[in-house]
Amino acid sequence: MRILKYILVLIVLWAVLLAGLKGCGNNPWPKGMAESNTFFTSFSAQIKSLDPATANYVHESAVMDNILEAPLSYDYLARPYRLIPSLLEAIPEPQYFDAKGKVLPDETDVSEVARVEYVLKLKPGVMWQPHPCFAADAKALVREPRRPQDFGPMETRELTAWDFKTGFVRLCDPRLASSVYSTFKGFVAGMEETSQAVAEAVAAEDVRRLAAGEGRAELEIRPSVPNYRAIPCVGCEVLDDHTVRFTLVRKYPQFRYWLAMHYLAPVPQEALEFYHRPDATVAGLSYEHWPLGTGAFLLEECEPNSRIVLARNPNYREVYYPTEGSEEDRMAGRLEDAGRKLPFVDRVVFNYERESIPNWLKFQQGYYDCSGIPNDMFDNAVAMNPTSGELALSGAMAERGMQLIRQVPPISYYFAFNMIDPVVGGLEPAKRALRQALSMVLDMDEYVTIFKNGNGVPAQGIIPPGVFGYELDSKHFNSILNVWDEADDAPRRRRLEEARALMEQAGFPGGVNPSTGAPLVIHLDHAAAGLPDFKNRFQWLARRFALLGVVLEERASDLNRNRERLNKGDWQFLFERGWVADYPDPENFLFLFYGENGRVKSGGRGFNYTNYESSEFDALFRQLEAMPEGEERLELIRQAEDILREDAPKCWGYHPVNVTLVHHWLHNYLPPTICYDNLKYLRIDGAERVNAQREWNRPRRWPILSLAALFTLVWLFHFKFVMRNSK
Amino acid sequence: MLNYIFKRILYMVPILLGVNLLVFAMFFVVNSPDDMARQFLGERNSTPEQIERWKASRGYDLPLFLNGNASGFSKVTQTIFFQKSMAMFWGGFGNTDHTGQPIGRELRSRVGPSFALALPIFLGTLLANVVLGMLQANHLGSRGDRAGQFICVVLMSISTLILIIFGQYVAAVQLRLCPVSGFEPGWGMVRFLVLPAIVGIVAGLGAGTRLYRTFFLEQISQDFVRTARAKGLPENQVLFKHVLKNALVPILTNIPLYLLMLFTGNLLLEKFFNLPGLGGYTIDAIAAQDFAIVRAMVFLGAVIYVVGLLLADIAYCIVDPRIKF
Repeated sequence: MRILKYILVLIVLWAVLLAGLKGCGNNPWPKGMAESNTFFTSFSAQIKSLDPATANYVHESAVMDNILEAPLSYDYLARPYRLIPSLLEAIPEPQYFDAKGKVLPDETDVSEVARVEYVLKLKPGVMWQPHPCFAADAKALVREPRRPQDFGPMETRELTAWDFKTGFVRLCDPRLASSVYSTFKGFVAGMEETSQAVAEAVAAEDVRRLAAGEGRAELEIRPSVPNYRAIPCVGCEVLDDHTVRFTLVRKYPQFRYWLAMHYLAPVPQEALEFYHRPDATVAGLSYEHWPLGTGAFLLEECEPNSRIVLARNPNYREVYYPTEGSEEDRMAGRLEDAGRKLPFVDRVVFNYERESIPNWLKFQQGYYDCSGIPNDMFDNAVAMNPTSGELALSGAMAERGMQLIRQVPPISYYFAFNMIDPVVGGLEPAKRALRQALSMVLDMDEYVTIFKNGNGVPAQGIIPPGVFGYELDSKHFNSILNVWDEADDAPRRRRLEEARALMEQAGFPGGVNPSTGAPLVIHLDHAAAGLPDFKNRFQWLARRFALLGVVLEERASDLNRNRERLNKGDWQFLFERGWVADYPDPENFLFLFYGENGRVKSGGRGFNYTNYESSEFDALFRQLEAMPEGEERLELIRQAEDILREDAPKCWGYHPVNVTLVHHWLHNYLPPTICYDNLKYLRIDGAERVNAQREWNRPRRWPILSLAALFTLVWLFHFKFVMRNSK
Repeated sequence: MLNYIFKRILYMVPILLGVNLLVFAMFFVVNSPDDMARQFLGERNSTPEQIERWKASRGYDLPLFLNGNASGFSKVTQTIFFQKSMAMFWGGFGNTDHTGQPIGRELRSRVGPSFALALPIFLGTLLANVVLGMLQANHLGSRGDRAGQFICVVLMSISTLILIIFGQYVAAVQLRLCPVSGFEPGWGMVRFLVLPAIVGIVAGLGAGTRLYRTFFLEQISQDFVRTARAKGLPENQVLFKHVLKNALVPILTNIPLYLLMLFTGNLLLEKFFNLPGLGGYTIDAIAAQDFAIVRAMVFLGAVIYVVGLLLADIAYCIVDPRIKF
């Protein structure tokens, strides 16, 4: 009897084990998904908002910009970046007016222009994605709806100019606290008045609802939605169903780039009213998480804390893959789909990955189609080709057919001097020499090699590659800090002796202050103590400064205190900071040095953190900021950059290089930089992906089976032992 | 007994109020509403005007504890503390600072995955600790006991993070038997939970077994155990009926800690295995400085812990009739 019990237990355990092992596998996706025409990717930070009025972060744009569209976009392949019409018939041209309403020519000076008008002509026949908000009798189709698709019927309508007005007036809604409101209101007419009008309309609606018997709690749960279309807005007026006019209070050619930002995307009033319905509120639906657009993809699943799924928009208009590109694009096969109708993939899955290592492992297993390389894994994934000096994939990755894509996004990193600091600030020749000397010893080539795995281009100024005004040749480089190396055809840092000579000019021979006899002490202000390699970077900086006899001391604070100190100008030498372009125009970088934007001078509003102020530079900036691209503007940019290089308010750092790995079944991939509506250009070879995943991920069951066999043996011995004892 | 329970429930009010006040004060010392606004808006958009608009939109434009501009009871109610912290006493968790989504709804949707992970860890750890602790105590000083002690110390010395990475590398990369991380609702979640559950059990094994061994050692040398053996009871009955039953009181003392984990999630495991539970929610909230969520989770944790202690007290009376309150 006892032996039967033992055998039965063994059989049951083995059956459970074999059944469990049979269903085992490391595929994180539901069955059948790999075969589908789906692009799999991830996001690493929590998505807070997908509302075009409040979404501020890159990972949010990566999702949202594929659902909704701004009036303009960027050519996918063109570099330098080139604007193209998206929802408009053409890129709008500004019309300038003086104070009396007289039309002025384009080249009119900024000071004479009182008003600028941009008239936007919409493409006809652009349809909204299907959504229940367009149906008059939409109701829930399931008992517990969780997405707009759970309501029906799904209908659509044509995009009109009123939707642009709704989207724009929402930016003025004080309840949304849209981050661009305070920037935009400095340029677009009447935004403050519109904001006031929105507040009044909301208050009136609240009063009406309270009178109708709704309680205060209900008002909080379902905040009132005013009719944004009916609220007067001087800055954004609807001329007819397909024409909208934006009015600016000053000449500002960069407004065209604003038109390519999602903040100016159209919003249908019907959607806002739909999400205001009690049944939609109970279902947890909101515009913030279920935006509606005209883009190539619509939102199918939105769990910002785990997964976001986009599906092909059936109402998407005829849009085609670009037919022009560079030689590099042709070589990389990015022109093979030229002229084909977009989008190529049916579905996009964004998975939330909090940690980089699991993300990396899944990419290696073929479950993500592309991935960055975690810093810790860089040496495993990429190796330097000893002959060409180029970075190349390591053997195992290359064997699997992965491809390495390197791209320089429009970003500049730098170390900054506080120009109102008594030691390092000021435009006197001695102070200038001190900053130049300190910048000279910080060899960015070395810094990038050590701390960035070589993925960076040492900066010659503030303007990054890919942006108009960036130049790098023997005539255009930072000759204050570098000499041109003819052999390498690249700039090389000046010798240490020259930096030491500058220190003498600065009044600190050998880094010593003659009045005290003590070495000069520079304070490095930062909030980067949490960075994994901060200590190493600090040591590198200190070692470089020590070559000049200067002592570098760390002055750490937390992020908030650091911001406060920046606002007050209470700092000396700032640890690495970066500026990411909002739009690819040199104005977006040079304005970081415009006097009026001084952080302290503007009461914390401006982005000129260094508090640099030069009348000569300011005059040039005012001239060039409102000029069209051309030789004349380029010359002014060169002059402005020369002034900055001479004054050295920053130690020019580097422009980072994005390194992305893609699998061989993913085609046309370019890492998004300025514009994030790139998903419609991607093409997947599903069959190849499935084959690779199968080959790379065959489960290895034998170690578990061997262990189980071992335990069975132990069990049998134990049984024998028990039987012998009982006898 | 009922009197005692009633008194304990009354004690809970000042305890929770104190926790609330402490968390509120601590958070605002290091992170003012202005800082929260900056965090949300990002550095580029943090103009003084935008900060004020953000605070107004989230209700952080009120005074902290006393509103001098209000009159009567509103002096207290029209404050950040009352509106954001006191409201939790009547179930008002409010909305998140960053997304404006209702926290209560988020908690409801996340408690399932957290529970699904924590329950097998709880049961598995309890079972393993009891069995291994009992075996070691019963074979005190033997080679098996010494080896067990050594393994326990080794397990205690290894950080959970290492176990997670090792587990992912072996099970998902080398053996390819389960996904590295992720989650799927419904029965599909099982294949995502097996590995984190095993790691969770192994991580708690070292300290737990040693602790339970001590509990059992205290009982195993008692007279009643000797008597039971002298009566000729089988060893299984001696251990699992007499020793275990008498060791339950200290074991029960430990249970509220597990109870807390059952409902508030396991921070590290949820983060690294990318599970959409309450632990991951808290981690994300801390990283994003979303005070509303952190406050709600701390309050929830305090409530569960206090309730857990009360339940443990009641359980003492059940397992040991000699205990009276």
